[in-house]
Amino acid sequence: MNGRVTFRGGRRHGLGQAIRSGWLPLLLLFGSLIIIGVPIVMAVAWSLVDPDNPWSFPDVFPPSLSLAQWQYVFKYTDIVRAIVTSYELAAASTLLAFVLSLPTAYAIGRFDFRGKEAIRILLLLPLVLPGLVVALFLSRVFGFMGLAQTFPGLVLGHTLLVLPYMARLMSTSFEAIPRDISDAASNLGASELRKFREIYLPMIMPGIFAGAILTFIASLEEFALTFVIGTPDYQTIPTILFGFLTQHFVRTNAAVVALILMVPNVVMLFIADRALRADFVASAYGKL
Amino acid sequence: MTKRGHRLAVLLLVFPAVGYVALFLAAVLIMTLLQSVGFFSFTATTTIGLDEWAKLLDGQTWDSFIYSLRIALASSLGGLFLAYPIALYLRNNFRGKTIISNLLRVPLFLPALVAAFLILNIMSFHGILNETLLALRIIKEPLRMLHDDQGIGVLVIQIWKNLPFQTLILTAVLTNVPRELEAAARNLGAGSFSVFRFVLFPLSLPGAVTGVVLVFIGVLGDFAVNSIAGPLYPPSLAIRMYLLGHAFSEWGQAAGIAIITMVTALVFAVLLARLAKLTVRLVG
Repeated sequence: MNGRVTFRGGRRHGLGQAIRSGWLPLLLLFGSLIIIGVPIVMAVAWSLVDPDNPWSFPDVFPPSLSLAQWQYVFKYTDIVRAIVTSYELAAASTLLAFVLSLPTAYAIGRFDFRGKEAIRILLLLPLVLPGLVVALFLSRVFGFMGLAQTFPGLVLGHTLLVLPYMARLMSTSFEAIPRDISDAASNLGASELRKFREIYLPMIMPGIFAGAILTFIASLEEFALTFVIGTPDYQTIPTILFGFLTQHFVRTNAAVVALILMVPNVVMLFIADRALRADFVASAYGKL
Repeated sequence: MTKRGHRLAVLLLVFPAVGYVALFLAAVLIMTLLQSVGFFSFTATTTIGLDEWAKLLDGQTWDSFIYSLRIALASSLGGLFLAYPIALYLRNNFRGKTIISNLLRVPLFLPALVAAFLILNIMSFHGILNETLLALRIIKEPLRMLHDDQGIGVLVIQIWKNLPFQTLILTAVLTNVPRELEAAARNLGAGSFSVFRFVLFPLSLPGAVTGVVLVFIGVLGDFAVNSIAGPLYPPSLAIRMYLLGHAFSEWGQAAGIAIITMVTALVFAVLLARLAKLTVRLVG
C-alpha cells in the first residue's frame, strides 16, 4: 500500500482538508464500488436465477440460486462451438500478427529511416477507423475473393484489427533496448543475427507477452467484423451475446454468455498487468 | 553493407506488417469510394455518378447524422468533464488509492457488448435504478431509460465504458507535470483553481484531446450499443449503413454513410486539435 494520509500544515481548510483527510477517499471508494460493482453483481445474479423460483419485481435479489441457466446455455445453444471458434480465431490471428510484426517492429525499433512516423500512424489506423465501415467493405472485397463466410477470411480480418497492438508493443520494446548494450555486443564481435537471438529476443519477451495477450483479447472481443463476415456460418462468443441482447432477448442467457466472455479476459489482463508491472494498456492506447 | 543495401534491407524488414495493413485498408477505402459513385452495385448495371449520393441525402440520413453526432459529442465531452476531477484527485496519495484506481479501471477491460449488458440490467424498466428511485419516492413511476428517443441509455453505457480510458490518459499526462511547477505557481500566490487553469489544464490538454477524439470516433461509428439500447428512430449512422447495405443491398448509399462518418471524425479531430492549440496560446 502506498496510500498514507498525509497532513501538510495544520491551517488548511475546506476542499484541501477534505482531500487529505478521511471522508473523501471513503466516499470515492463507496461510489466506485457501487458504480462498478453493482452492475457486475447483478449480472452474476441473473446468471444464477432458479427457473423454478423466478426473480421478479419486488425482490432485490433472486429468491434462490441455481446453475440451471448455465446448463441450459451449454445444452441448447451453440455456445460450445462458438467458444471453440473464438479461441481458434484468437490464437490464429495472434500468431499471424506476431509473425508480421516481428520484422517490422525490429526495423522500427533499431533503425532510423525516413517515414517512420507515417508508418507508426498507418499501423494505428485499424484501431481508429469505424469498425463497421471496415467490416462491411472488407466483406465486399472478400466477397469478390471468395473469402466471405470462411474461417481464413475471419483470420485475415481479425489480424488486421489486432495487429496494431502487437506492432506497437513490440516496436516499443525494441526501442527500449539501450544502445550501449547492442554496441557492447558488436564490439565483442557479435553478428546482428547473434545479437537478435541472444540479446534482443530475451529483452523484448515481456513486450511480446503483453502484445500477445492484448491481441488475443482484442480478437476474442471483436464483434462487428465477425458479425458481418462470419454470421451465420461462424458464430463467436460476442455474436451469440449480441443475439441474446437483440432479436432473441433472454436476460438470463445473456448473463451467462457475458460472463463466459468477460471473466477470462479480465483475468488475463490483470495477470499481464501484474507480470509486467507497467501500465501496458496505457502504453498501447495512450501515446497516440 | 553498402548504404543502398542497408536501405533495401530496412525496407524489406518494415514491409510485412505495414504492407498488410496498407493493402487491406486501401482495399476497404477504394471499395467504399468506388461504391459510393456507383461501381459494383448489386444489380451490376453500373451508372457512374452522384446518383447514390442524391438518393442518400434525405431526411432520414440527416436524422441519423444529427443523432450520432449528438451522442458522440455528449459521450466524449461528458466523459472528459467527469474524468478531470477523478484524474486530478488520483494525483494525491491517500488510503485506498490502489483499490479505487483498480476498481475504476475494470470497465476498460470489458468488451463493449458486456458493458452494454451490465448497464442495461441496471437501467431497465424494473431494474435496480428505477426500483431504488421509486423506493426513495423520487419518481412516481419507472422511467424509460432504454430505447428512449434521446439515447440516454446509449450515453450512460458509453460513458461508463469509456470513462476509465479518458481518466487513464489524463492521469498519465498529469503525472508528467513536474510538481515543482505547481509549487512555483503556489508560491507566486496561485490558488487551487488558478493552478488548474494556468498550469495543469494547458499542460494536460493534449491528453484530454486524445481521449475526447478517440471516444468521439468510437461512439460516432457505434453499431452494437445502439442496437442494444438505442432509440427505435433514428437509427445510428452505423445501423443505417448496415441496414442499407446488408438488408437492402443499397451498397452505394451504405458507402456514402461510411464516407460521411469518416469525414466527420476527421474534421472533428482536426478542429479539436486546432482549438486546443488556440486555447493554450490564449491561456499561456
